Amino acid sequence: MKITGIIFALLSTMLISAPAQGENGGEIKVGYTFIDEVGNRSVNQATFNDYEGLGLSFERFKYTLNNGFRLRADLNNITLNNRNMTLGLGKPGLFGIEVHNDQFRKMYDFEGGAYTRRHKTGGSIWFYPHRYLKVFGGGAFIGRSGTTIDLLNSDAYAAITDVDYTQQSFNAGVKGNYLGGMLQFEYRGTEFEDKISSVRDQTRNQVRFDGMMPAPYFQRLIITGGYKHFESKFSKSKFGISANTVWGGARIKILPTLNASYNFLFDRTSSDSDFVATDNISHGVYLNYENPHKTGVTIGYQYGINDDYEDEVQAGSYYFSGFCRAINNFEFRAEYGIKNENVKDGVRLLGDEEQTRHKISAKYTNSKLGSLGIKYESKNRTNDQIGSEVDFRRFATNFSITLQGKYPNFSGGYSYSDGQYANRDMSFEFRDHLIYGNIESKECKHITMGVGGQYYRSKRDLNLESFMLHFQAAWEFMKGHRIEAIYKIHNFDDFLYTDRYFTANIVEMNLIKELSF
Amino acid sequence: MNIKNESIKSGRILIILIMIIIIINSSYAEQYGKMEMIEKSKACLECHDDKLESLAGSTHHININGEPGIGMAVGCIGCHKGWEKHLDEPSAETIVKLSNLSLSEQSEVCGNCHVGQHQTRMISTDPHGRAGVSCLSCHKIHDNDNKNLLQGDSENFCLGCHKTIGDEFNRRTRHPLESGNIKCVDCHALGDAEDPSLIVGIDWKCQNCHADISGPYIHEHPVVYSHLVNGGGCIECHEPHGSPNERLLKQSGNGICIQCHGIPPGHRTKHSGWGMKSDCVLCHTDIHGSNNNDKFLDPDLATKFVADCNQSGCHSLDN
Repeated sequence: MKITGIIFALLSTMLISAPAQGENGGEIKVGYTFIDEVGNRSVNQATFNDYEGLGLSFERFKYTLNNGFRLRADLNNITLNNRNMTLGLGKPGLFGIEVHNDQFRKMYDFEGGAYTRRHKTGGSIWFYPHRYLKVFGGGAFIGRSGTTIDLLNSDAYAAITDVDYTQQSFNAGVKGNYLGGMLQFEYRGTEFEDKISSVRDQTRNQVRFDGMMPAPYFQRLIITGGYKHFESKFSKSKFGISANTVWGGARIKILPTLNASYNFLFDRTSSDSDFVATDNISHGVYLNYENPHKTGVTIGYQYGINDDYEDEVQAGSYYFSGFCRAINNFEFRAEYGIKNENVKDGVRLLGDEEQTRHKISAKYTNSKLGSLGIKYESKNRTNDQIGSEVDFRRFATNFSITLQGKYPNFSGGYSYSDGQYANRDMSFEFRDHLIYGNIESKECKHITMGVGGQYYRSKRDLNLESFMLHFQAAWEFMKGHRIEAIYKIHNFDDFLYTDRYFTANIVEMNLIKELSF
Repeated sequence: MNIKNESIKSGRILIILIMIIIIINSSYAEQYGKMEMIEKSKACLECHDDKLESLAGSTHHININGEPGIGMAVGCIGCHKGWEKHLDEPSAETIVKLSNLSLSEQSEVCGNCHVGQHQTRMISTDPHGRAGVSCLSCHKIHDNDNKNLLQGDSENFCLGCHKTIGDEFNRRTRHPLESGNIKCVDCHALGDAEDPSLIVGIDWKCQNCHADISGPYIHEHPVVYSHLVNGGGCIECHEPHGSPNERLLKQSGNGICIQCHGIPPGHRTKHSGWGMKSDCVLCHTDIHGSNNNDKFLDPDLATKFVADCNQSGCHSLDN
């Protein structure tokens, strides 16, 4: 409530401080949410954060003053425990402040008695003391408390565990920009406090430098680089881990349509754990041809070494991608990658490994009619040493139809995923189907209506079904006033377990007033 | 200790080098002064007066009255090259529109002012840059009052292109994107968006929120860290967007463990294979890492089930 008060005070101050310009306004929404739910509260994630009660929201608020100051606010469900609020104030090119607060609840048992609530409050600020210099910073406070069930709910042995921790983080930095060059420094600090076991209290620090600039006398070459130091230590035992990372690269414009780039990375992570220090080194080269908005092709090779002094793994990756927009309104994309990891020294559990990935997509877009997209992708990982193979395929299509005149708008899609994890001892397979769609009517006699929903089905080794349907109607009366009714039905069934079912009927009635200044 | 000091020393040398080069280089690039930018842009606005309004309130607002004070030097000529010729021969062919330029050319224009981690990554390791995604694929300059001049007003407008990722957020378990408690950029911070195969070292993104299970531990489970296992990290076992399994796991039950470890022989034979039939994490509770033993076993395992297992000497945790 304290934050809510501050936000309203800020809003009021800004509104009366100076005349406004341009289109300013937003919406005030007062409503009540009714929830009727039956079944296992811990299985349907879509309703975890729904609360019954009176809600007050202040949405999509924008206000620009003549002096260039801009205020933005999106304060949802201020009076409920699922509040999600963002407030921003700034003057473009000079300064900006943003604060936010949100909360989320997750349930772990049938009755919903074992749950945790996570809340996050934070803000950021930036300003330009000089046109080439930006100073920025921010902070966040995360807290989570409640009770949870241990890692996996293994029925009779499931252990209820109390959770109560907070984490404060903050960052500050400065960035200098001049003539296409940039140098940035940033510090990040984090304090983690576990109120149940102080042994887990941790402090983390990170400093990071980033730089970028065109090469002297040869501006077709751009050089980038950076350095990061990270360390995390338990407050009591001083047990910790740290990493030093250096990266860099260069891109050269060989021709107006042809670019080549190189990047490298060196990382050494040192730990007080049983893995004392590990080096990672990576080099990548890419060649890119682009005929603006028509065609583009990129080929690349990347080489990496992972060395922990006992074992050394080398990896080589090839990459190809391309796009083509040769036909009006059509776009085709393709991507292919292959990576081979070889154990050069020592022995590791996984041994040698090969990974491949494909993606192909096509999209038709018509600014008057809508769009249609199709995508196919696959991933494969094989590991002969441990006899393991992972296969994943996905096909997805989506469309939107925007009709002129009195006809409604349609949108929808279908996604099919098929995955298989196999090894010497067992396999796991899943096949997911997701269908979704929406129909939104145009306004007729001050009434708009909409209906939509989604259906999810997971089969093979799993046997899940869930769906959500929503109906909504709004009636505009007087000017800028609306009454809105939303009805949602949620259903979830896990057919492999008799106690994993859930149904909810949620009705939301809102009175909305549009604000315009 | 020596290794650490050497690394820090190398980092310092690199930073000093970058600073020196920037200072030297700054003399050679061209840039318009604030008043020059405004004066020359006034000529453009004589015909294109609507463009002044289209930038009002945005970062690119043209300070047409040349009001004193701190502010950006933004004007038409900063982005639209060829303006000199266009003033003499006003036609669509004589002026450069950003939307007609390639990614690298767009980034050159925008990069005159906007140079940060985001832009650095876009031209180096970010996959967007390699896929022909240009500045204007995500940003719209004129007639736009969205935050950061994004094409869409939703925080998660990334899903407009990455629709299949959006589909994953409808699975059984997922991060709470729909309720607005998490945004795409919370994990995929654009300044940090790198090629997944380049993410090594400590990738502490997940631990920023899930610090309660973060290490380091005396006995690490290597796969938890991307610096220990190439391509590893939390995502080796979890699907961060959404999963058909509980706890965002890639497989249900013991499958996720057996994928790498198989079923250890002793687990098949002892006590009628009880260890094979039970959940692995029933005993290996500290699966993210342990400060007690290198098998990630529950330190209270002996008392958890049958005290005799331990007291008989068969299952001493030290063995």
